[in-house]
Amino acid sequence: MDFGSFAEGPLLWIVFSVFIIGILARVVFFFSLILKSSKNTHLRWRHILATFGRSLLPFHSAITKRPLYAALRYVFHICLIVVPIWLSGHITLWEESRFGWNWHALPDALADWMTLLLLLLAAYFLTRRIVVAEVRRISANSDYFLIVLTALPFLTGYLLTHGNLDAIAFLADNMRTIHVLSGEAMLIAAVLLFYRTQLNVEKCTGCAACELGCPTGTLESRDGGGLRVFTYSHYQCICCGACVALCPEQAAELRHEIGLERFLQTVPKQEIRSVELALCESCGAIVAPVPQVEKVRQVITDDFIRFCPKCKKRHSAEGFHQLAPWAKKLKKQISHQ
Amino acid sequence: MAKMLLVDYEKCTGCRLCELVCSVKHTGASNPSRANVHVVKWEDEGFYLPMLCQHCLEAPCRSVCPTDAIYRDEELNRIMVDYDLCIGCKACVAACPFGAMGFDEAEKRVIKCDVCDGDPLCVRFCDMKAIDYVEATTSHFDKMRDASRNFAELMAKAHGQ
Repeated sequence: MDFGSFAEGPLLWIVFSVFIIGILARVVFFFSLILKSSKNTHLRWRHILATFGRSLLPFHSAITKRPLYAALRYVFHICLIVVPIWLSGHITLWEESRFGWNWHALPDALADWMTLLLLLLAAYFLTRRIVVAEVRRISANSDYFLIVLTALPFLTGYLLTHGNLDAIAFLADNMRTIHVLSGEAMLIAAVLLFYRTQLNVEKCTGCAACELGCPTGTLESRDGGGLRVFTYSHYQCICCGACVALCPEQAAELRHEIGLERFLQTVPKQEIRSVELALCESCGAIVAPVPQVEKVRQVITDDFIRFCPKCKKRHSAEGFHQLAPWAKKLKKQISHQ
Repeated sequence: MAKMLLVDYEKCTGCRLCELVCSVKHTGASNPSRANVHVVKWEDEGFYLPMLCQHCLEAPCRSVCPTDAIYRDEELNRIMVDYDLCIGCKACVAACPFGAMGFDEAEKRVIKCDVCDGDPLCVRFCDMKAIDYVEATTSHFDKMRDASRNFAELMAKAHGQ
């Protein structure tokens, strides 16, 4: 048996079983996490499920931030799922397999257009990632790799049905193998596909609204030693996008990430950002993170932001205290004694 | 005519009953640290001043809110928080010069005076009426304006400007 028929035969079945078992395992992990979290007082499984469900719909709140980009991403993922499953060529293969399964196929023309759309979008995402400096800064190699990996089966599949690549003999001969192999790689990647929130250091003010909004307690912050430290427990993230939707600075970004360690849940909590805290000038209590204080200072004119709420009360009451005529008199008497 | 909360420090006895009833009304727990009103005391001089939200016309909390969750309710002449829009960034807590904006650690949200929807409990329980809920007449506004002018001068002096 040559490699091509191995990739289309036994390897394909292995990949399918790994994919199905892996996805089932992740569903089990997801529900065990929900049950564990529901013991915590402010994380409730109803809330987690609702946030997760909302994140799957096209009109959830993260979209209002960047509507066009979100819509493109949504279309991309629809094509990504629909085309391979309802492609007439794939269905024929299922029919010929030992199961003899059969279902309605997409019209070929529509499948073609969806494939082209997906390739176009993949090209756009890749270019955007390379060209836009802001995005490039926060991109890792795996981000580029993932886009290419996702587009490859579609590109080869399209060339298989339409292409005329006889000029490049190697490609033409092995196109089918490349198509199957890249498709298999994509399925494996889908099982190991996780998400990670990144906080853009230049935009993030450290207000920790994302921590309050995170339904699974993935993002946490802890204040201590004049610093607010944000930690991220990777395997808990359900990619609901609550942090992206909430962030008033648009500093939170969700990224795809492939990792076996995260599937095995062995990744420890990771520190993703630490912000310096402004402390109250009179009592040393925490006021707010320094970037947030600077941002608030741009809007307000008074100087009370140097103090914590408790000392602010004291200091502004002190103003009225000095205004009170009888108190002034009394003070004088006390100081005389 | 809209009404407003008027504080008279000369009447306050420093009993802090307002703090207790406020926290009971808003959180169900008798815990002054979760109340929206706080009495600042100078015990040796017998000067007690209940500090609460001034419902400012140009409210700093409202101007710093990134999601416009803080709005002015003209009907009751008050500043309110829309908890559906609030994301809990606590910018308002940092911005309020009176420290009237608080953060409730138990419920994980900001808290502020909402004049109990037109029937303030602190007023009902304050026998001395150190906090009173009165018609916002011109004379009361004049009093407030004078106080704030004096206050501004004093603060400018204190900060050496």
